[in-house]
Amino acid sequence: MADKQATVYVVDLGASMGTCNADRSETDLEYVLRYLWDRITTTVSNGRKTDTIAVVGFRTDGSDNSLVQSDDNYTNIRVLNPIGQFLMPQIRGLKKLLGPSTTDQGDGVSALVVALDLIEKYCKKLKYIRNIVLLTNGTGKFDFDGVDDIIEQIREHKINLTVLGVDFDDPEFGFLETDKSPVKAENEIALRELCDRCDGIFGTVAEAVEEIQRPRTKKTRPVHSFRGHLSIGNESINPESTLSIDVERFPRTMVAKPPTASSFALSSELDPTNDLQTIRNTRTFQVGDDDAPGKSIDIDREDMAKGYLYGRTIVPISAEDQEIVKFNTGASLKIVGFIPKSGFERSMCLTNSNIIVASKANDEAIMALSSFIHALYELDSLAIARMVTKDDKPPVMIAMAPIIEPEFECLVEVQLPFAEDVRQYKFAPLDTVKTITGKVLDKHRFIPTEELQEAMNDYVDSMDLMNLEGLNDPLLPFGQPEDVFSPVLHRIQQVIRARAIVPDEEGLPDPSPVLLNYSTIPTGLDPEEELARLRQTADVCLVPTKAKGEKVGRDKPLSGLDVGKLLEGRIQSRRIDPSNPIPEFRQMVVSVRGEEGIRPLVQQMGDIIKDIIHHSVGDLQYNKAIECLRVIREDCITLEVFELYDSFIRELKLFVGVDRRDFWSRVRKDRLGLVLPSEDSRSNTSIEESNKLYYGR
Amino acid sequence: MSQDKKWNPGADAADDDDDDGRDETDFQALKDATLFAIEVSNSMVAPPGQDDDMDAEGGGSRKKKSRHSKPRYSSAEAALRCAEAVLKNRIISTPNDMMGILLFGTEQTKYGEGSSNISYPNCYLLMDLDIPDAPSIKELKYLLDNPDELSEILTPSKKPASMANVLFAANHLFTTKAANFNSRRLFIITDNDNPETDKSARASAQTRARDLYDLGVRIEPFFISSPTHQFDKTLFYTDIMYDTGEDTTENLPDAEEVSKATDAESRYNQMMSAITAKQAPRRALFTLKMEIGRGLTIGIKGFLLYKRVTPSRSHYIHEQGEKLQIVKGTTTRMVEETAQEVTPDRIRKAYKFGGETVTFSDEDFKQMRNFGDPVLRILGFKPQSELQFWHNMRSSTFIYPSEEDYTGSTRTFAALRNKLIASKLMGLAWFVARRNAAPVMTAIIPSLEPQGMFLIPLPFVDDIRQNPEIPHIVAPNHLIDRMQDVIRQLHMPRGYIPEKYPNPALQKHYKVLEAIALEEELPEEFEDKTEPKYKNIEKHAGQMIRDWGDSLAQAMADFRLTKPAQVEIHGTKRGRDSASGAAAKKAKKDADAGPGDADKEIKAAYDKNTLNKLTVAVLKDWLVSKGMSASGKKADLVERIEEHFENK
Repeated sequence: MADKQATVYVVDLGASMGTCNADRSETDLEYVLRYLWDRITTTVSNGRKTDTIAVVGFRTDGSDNSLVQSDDNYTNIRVLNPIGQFLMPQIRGLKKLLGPSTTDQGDGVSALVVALDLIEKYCKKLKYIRNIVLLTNGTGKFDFDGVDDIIEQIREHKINLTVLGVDFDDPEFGFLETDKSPVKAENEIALRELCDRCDGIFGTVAEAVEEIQRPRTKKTRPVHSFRGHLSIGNESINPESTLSIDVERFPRTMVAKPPTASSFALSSELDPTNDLQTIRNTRTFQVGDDDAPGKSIDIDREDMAKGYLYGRTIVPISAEDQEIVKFNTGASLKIVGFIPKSGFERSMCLTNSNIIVASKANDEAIMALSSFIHALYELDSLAIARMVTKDDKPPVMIAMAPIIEPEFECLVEVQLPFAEDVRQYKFAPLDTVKTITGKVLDKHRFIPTEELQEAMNDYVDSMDLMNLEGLNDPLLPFGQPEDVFSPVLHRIQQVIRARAIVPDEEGLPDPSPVLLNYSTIPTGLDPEEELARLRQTADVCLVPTKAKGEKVGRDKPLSGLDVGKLLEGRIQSRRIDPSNPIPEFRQMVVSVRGEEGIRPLVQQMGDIIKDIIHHSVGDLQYNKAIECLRVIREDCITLEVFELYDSFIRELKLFVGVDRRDFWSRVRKDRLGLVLPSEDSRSNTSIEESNKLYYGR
Repeated sequence: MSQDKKWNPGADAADDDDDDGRDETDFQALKDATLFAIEVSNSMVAPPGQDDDMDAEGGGSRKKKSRHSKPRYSSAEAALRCAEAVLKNRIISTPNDMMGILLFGTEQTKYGEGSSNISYPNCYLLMDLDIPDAPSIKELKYLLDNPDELSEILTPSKKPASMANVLFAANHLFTTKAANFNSRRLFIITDNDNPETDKSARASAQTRARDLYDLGVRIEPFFISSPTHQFDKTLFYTDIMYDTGEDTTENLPDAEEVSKATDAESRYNQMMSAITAKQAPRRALFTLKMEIGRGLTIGIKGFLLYKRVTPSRSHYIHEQGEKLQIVKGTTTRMVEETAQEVTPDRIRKAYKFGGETVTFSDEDFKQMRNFGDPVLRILGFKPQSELQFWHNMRSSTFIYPSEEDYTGSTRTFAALRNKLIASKLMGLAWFVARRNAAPVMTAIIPSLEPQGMFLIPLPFVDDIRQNPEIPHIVAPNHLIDRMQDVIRQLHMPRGYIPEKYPNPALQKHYKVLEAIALEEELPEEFEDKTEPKYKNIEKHAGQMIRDWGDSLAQAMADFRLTKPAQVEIHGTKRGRDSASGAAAKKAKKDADAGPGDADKEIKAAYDKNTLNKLTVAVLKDWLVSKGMSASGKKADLVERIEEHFENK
């Protein structure tokens, strides 16, 4: 994978490439370039210096190659870009050169020779993967005199030749051009023969363009992540009866991450080139100090020790003491026991999977591990083990299963949770309902009726995927991981490449359909009848947003007691007790009607909030004020009087002013500013307006 | 589960990322504050055994003996010990959460420092509601080790505490100490099912309970029944407990009853398991639509039931001041060339491509990751056997129906689960957990306990790595048979039970911190339960392993007869490459040895703050070996390494 590579693209730039054919709205050249740019940008995106590219044009205006001086067979051929790593400047340079010429003069076969010459001079006898890709519409001159020598050379240097022609016939792909000119037909036959004789690939551009829609998966060279012994028993105590096998571990699955964006700074001057400047992060360290200006002082790196938090208590641990916190381990893979595969809880698996194979240079280990793999397989069991991948790494518990493929055997491993990793959440059973009084019911609106269960059974049976083929590769079963591309990964790569070629374009290209084909129920499954019956028996209803709001403050305790009655006295007072503001506000706000009723309550709460802020020592009470603020905001939205909140929050900003600026940054952080249209459709506050209140002075 | 939710749409918005202005904001601290309110009364502090001994009288002497060998606690002390256990647990699992202990019905009254005690008579705040610190843990430990002092505090008052007061005290604690917390819970541990018989006292308790509900505090009672008295929660407690938001909650195992236990020890164990089950508030990871078919959508919530807990990260500490302080690191972004500080509005995100940068607007940035609305869309069903063992990428997500947005979700979900269990099927689904989250393919498998379903994220073709090349040698049957003998002997029929394997690295980390923080002796021996039981292995499988060893020697001898040793095979197979192959291998090995040593060197330098003294080459090599960028000036390299260790 990391082999050095040299690829020469030989592009037909004849005047005829500038015409549109076969009802396409783009010219032959534009059509071919779709393929060319995709290939080039794919190479650029891997960022490898040793993946080199050259581009040769033929049927060009003028000539520029090293052979033309001595031989005029090489006129109208130009080396547009010599072999080397392709970067953005090369892309920009090439873009200017790739236009149709004003001539149809120039020989395609000679251009191939120029390409061969480039490769030979660049790669010499070194280990390179050598590729030549010829792109043409096949209407120009192809002089096949001396083609035998060329074939000889291609074979000798093990060059992969690919010829792609615009509207070339390809019965396999299913393309035939009916009104082909005799010249083109002749060229096609000769080029096909050329390819056949040097094991090259001959195809039609349509197929290549279709092919580039399909994302390419990047192969990663397997790198071991553990080397050691798989052991049963303790060698130091019972050397005679300890099983020990030399093994190595490699990833089986690993998330292929999309490229990550980095931050850059816009140039301060209005720079027309719009160059971005690299950002450097500088870290400084502070501790709080009430006497210092700004309430904190900077600390020198030398004056810092290291430590941990135990609850709220700081526990300093000096560099020398680090060792005592550390759990010392040695790299190992120790079998703890074996469990039946059938009862294994699949949901426990925590990580990606890795394979364990025997050391490849050790026949005995391979044989030994093979017996382990087969025995596990035959007993339908999994091995539980404790693994330390490197000295002093913390141990992990793993489950290992056997994989036996033709010509390949291994164990596959995933990590299991420790006691601390299990969260003991309780969930009510789904098959029974327990009432407050402790009665257990098996008929309830939460429990499916027989009709619903039957409808569900039929529907699920009708949605069987086992007879469908893969959407990307028909030879694979539907939905098999090997058939599904990572949408985000390829989408981001796609847009970066597209933007690199056309930097000024607005918006993004649509995601290629291949990335979305597993996002919807497959065509071919259309159980309308079963689905209709299921919908009817399930009778699922959307809860209107309004209804959710109406519940506010009307809840009763489990016994159904009317607490509202008990609260009447308090509510009538219309005075919110500052020591119990939130509950009392909530209780009162639902008892009043309309904006006029709510306004005084919001006002009281506002005063309480201001009071809290005013009396807060530092930021100690800010949380309390923020919480009150959140409650008012929320209830004002639910009760459709967000205007009351908006005017209060404007007022509050003036109140906090400069002295309590830090409070305002909390408001901003918690997004407690003006109510946006997304929260109440009646609001017409724009994002800019909202930001102005947040950030403005 | 959703009282928190209704109370704070912030949490909801963070889940759903529904509206434009809000999506990236970490809305509210997902923190929990739990207050233990433990009743102190004659029956709660009664020494265990009064009622136990009565039936122990009839029991055999063996039974009695076994009881005496274990410590026996009064209900109140048992509750305190539960609280202590929870406390220590939470320090490890959720170090930022708050906890407090309030005793009520005590003769003494204590409520916070300096505050007047008049308002909450007969309430004793044993531990203030806060993130626990060493002194308070020590104090609690001390009390539990000194029965005399404990019983002094646990002296019941003549007159029981007013429940209204207890609830208002809790209200006050939550409002002042844990304002704006996402989850606030009051654990009431009591054996008194009818605390307020007076009508007006009842009414004011009911009002105060209502206040707590409106404040978003959830009451979680733990009722203790005795063999002679069955706790009846309808006498008082159902008047102060609320439906916790969702309609489904009438179906929830709401109040744990610690009952039916006949003796103090099992009562303690029951209480312990009831409380541990609730120690972590249930937090939904997402609220989502589940599309079972076209036009059939139900509501679900997702939960993480398995999540790796790692030791807390280290901090920089300032020791020179009056007291220890955590050092705060601030990162300033500067333009590399001009060293000018960069304001956020001038920062653009860009991808590196072809030696330059490719820039996108913020709008485009969001758009390129957008694959439609959040949804769990079932594409169809397959047998569960189609899910390969290696089809795993990260931890699973538990899903459970929610009636919040769609009524009828629970029954439909239950019907689907029944069918999947009955026919051993799994669903295959397109899964976008929240707005702009990367879509994944996921398997949906039914879960027997807890009842619900699990989502298993599947790999994409891009995530699948190729196999390394290994010579193919298959073991002969006699060798496989011997290995089967070994495996049968080491069979664990109950499967893997995580609870039996505490994480030794994590445990040691906190044991040492605890010892230092509480100024105790460092633990000398450390028990590691993940180590195999060697004695058992030797006893049960020793002979079988020896037999297997003999069998292997035999198999190798046979193998050598047919095939020469591998070195030669490779010699011929690899042909001219063999020389370079060996060289490459050697070089590789050297490189391997490198990082190990470099790791230690760099770590040591980091610990001593002497990274600056290392050469750039060493720093760069190390960074590259960790897959980090090695660009920039020396100071940058040092900084990057420091950040790496800091975040570790």
